[in-house]
Amino acid sequence: MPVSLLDTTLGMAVRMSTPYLFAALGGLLAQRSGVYNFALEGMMLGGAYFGYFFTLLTGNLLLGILGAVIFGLLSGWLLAFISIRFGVSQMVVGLGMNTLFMGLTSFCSRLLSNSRDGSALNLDRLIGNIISGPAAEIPVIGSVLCSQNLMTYLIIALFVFYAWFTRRTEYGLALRAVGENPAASQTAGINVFRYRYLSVIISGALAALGGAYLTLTQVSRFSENMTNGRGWIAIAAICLGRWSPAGTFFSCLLFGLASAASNQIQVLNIGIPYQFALMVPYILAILALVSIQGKSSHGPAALGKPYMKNR
Amino acid sequence: MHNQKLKAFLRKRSFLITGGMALIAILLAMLVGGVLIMLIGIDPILAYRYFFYGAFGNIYGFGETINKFTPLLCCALGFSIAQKSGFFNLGGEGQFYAGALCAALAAANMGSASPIVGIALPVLAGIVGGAVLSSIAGALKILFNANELLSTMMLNYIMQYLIALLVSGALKNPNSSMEQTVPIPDPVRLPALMEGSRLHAGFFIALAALLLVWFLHQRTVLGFEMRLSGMNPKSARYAGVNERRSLIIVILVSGALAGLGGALELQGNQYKLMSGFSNNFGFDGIGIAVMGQYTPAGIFLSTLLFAALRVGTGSMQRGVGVPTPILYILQGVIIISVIVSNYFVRRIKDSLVEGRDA
Amino acid sequence: MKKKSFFAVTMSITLLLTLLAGCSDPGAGSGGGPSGGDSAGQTGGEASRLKVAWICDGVLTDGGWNTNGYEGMQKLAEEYDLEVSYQENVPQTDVGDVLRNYASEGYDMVLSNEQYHCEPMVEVAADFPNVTFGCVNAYVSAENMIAFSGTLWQHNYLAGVMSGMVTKSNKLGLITFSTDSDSALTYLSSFRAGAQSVNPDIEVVHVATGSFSDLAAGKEMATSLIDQGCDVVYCNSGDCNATVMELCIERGVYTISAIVDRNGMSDEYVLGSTVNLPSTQLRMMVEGKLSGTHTGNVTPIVGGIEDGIEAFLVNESLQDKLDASVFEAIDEATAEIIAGNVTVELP
Repeated sequence: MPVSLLDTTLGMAVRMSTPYLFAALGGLLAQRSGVYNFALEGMMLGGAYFGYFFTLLTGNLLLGILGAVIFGLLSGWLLAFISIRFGVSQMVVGLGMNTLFMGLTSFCSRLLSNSRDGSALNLDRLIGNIISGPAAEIPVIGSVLCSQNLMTYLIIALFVFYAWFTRRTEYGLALRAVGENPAASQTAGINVFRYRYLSVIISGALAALGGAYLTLTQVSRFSENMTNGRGWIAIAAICLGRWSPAGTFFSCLLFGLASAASNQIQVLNIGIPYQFALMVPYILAILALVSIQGKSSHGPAALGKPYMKNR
Repeated sequence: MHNQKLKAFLRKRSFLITGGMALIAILLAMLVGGVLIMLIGIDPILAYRYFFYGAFGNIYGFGETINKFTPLLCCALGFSIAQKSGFFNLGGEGQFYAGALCAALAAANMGSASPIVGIALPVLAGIVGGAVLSSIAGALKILFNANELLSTMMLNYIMQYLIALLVSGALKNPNSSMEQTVPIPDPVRLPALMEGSRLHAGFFIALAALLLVWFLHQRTVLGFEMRLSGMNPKSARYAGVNERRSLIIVILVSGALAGLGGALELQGNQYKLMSGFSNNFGFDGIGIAVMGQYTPAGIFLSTLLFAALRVGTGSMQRGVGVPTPILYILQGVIIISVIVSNYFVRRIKDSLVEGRDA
Repeated sequence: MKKKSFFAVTMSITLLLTLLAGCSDPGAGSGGGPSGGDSAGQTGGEASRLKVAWICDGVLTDGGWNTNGYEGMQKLAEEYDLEVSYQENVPQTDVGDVLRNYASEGYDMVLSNEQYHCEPMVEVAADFPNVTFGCVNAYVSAENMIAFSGTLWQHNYLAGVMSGMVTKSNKLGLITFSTDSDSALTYLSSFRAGAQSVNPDIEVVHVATGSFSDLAAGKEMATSLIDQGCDVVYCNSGDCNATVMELCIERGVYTISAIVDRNGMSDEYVLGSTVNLPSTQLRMMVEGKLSGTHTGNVTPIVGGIEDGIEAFLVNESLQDKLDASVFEAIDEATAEIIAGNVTVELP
């Protein structure tokens, strides 16, 4: 039964933006504390693989999610340890970790597929939509809000929580202070390192969840390099959102919409070469970078600058 | 005292410390790789013997290693020079494509030109092509203060789709089913230098670029300004450095180098443009520059390492069936451990200096 | 601290030198390639063993094309006691190098799983007259190169006929990696021709994923097609195939499997599988070489459904669920193709 173009596009936009949302919230949290997380892409890939792997192993989706989170926490810790403890280039560490995780997940997936035959590599069950029936049939609202799964609702809740946390709580304000001026924060008695470590570690878990969304809710298997640049789009969304939770949230939705539009352009067959259709999200990202020009916020002042305790 | 002598010795030859650390990083990567290879039931020693045999032990393999060396070196130089001035150019991949594209367009129209012009013009076109692409990111940075990490990254994707579009459409070779351009005419190709190996003249052009970049950086006023604005923009401004001018030049040179890589790869090795023409050369350039600590000798050696990694891992798969993703694992571990080792190098050097004061 | 680091440096240099010493031929002794002798672990055995190399573009774990070729080679290795070496992820840019490498390392046969490798293979084959080359679905060949190819359209045509018979919306969806390559256009024109042969009003919507591995994107692509009213979706884009089929089964629309037989995935919604197995062609090459009956053909030997190189396997469990006219149409079209009465305009 044909579904209206609008419903397809919007529902798809939300589905495609959910992984962006997870990774972008993770990236945002880390950047707020003053640390760039450029390993989002690799962490998503790891989350996608380990979420899938543990679900396959145990047959339990919750354990799969847990596996992805544990991977995320560990990889977040590694990034935090290297970039905070040693104060080295956060960009380079991030790129190194992306390369490493791409190799690691591909390697592991080889081991797995060598040990089982093809049909045993599929997950039996995915995290499904919780609202079904008439509610999902309502135009627009049905496709955007109701035909989604638990993880989408979770990330929306997490965004709200993050907004509240960073603006209304003492800890949140301290986190922002650490990202703006670590030296002054330290003087004021805030433990800069603890804030940065925790932010980056949680950031890893969030990125991994974004990857796990792909394998545990969308498709039932893992494919090498299946994240296909989503981590980078997430970083662009943070920039476009000017480091505010609401801005980042809507930027992610915008990128999701662009990806959905890129599909629909092809399906509508209006004579645009498919390569142009596939470029749409990336062109949008560049336009986004230009559009934030001259606006007040340029991200946390101490972003990307290592802070070493006075020895 | 023995200890004092050692300190003095190392102080004079600090490259030993850096080099030692790099070796440790390589060994660590090989250790990690070895354990993983063991996990899949393959003898790691045998696998590594295939690795070295494949990369250095025979003339074909060595030729392949050198073949990869040229484009990798250009990309590494491009990233390195920009990075030193504080411009993170992740767009090597796209600029490499842009260079190859412009070189291919120029080469296609060079049928009757004299050999020197026929070879030189496409190379120049490639240089311009790379510079044009990086200047897009540069303009966005200078005019709109747009984050260059993202803009260069996004331009990579756009460039890849653009190449895919061109080689299956306007530039497609009508006599082939493959999505690729018509091979460039013979006179435009860089001459091969050795019988039995694929070593071509591009190797020396890349080496010349390395020396030129070093000279520009260390021996010219412009280079001094570039370095200063990278290290300390504020003091550069006080010193009367035209920061914007030096940034523009850095961005152009950086893209030009990656573009040069694309042109040399096209004219010396592949002769035709296709999707997947750049097999991650741009990204590997970043790892190489980091590993080489942005010094000419360091970059030279690490390019050799990364080229060998590519060829060696292929040989490991052919020899004993080690899956190719091992390449990324080795590269990742090397990049991470080298960057961590920077911290220790700094500590050791500091302690050496303290030793002198005491 | 300093002492330790110096010690470390010395140690590393020593270790590296030891490793470099390992630079010598790991299969030394016989003086052939790296696996020329018994020392190369997995090899060993008599000198008469045929040494076969096999390469592919993309990864072994694509669950379709390359997986089938790889498994086919493993089976052949066991059956005929071959020494098989493989290299995956060989991009177009490196094909020549890899082929030369194998040929110079003393392999008797060098095979490729990738159609597009045939052009560089012809060039390399000229330099190694004593080596037998072979390429799956090749469209050019050489004297010392075995080249088989499916017609690449007959099975798709039959899939089109079946889809044309079962569609109610007259809209079919086709997903491939790109939409403008020769192979993608072959898929489109044959699938569409088949469908329109039974129902001229049918429209085929052709879209590209641009990726073999972005499963989520492939699935969304199929979602778009289904939502726009396509009631048969046919996907040939690497890893995405099975994912798209799963979605179709879930959404209750018909689907077709490309390359390998996945008819077992559903007894209701999988119409059939268009099979063109690399393993079939690889077997023909290896057996030809072993028996000495076939070691090269300058013009590729093209075989279709009649020769078993390609096939459209109808899902048997649909026999009692669909109208008999569907199967009659397929049988009729099959007979017409074999009789040579069907032509499809190919790119």
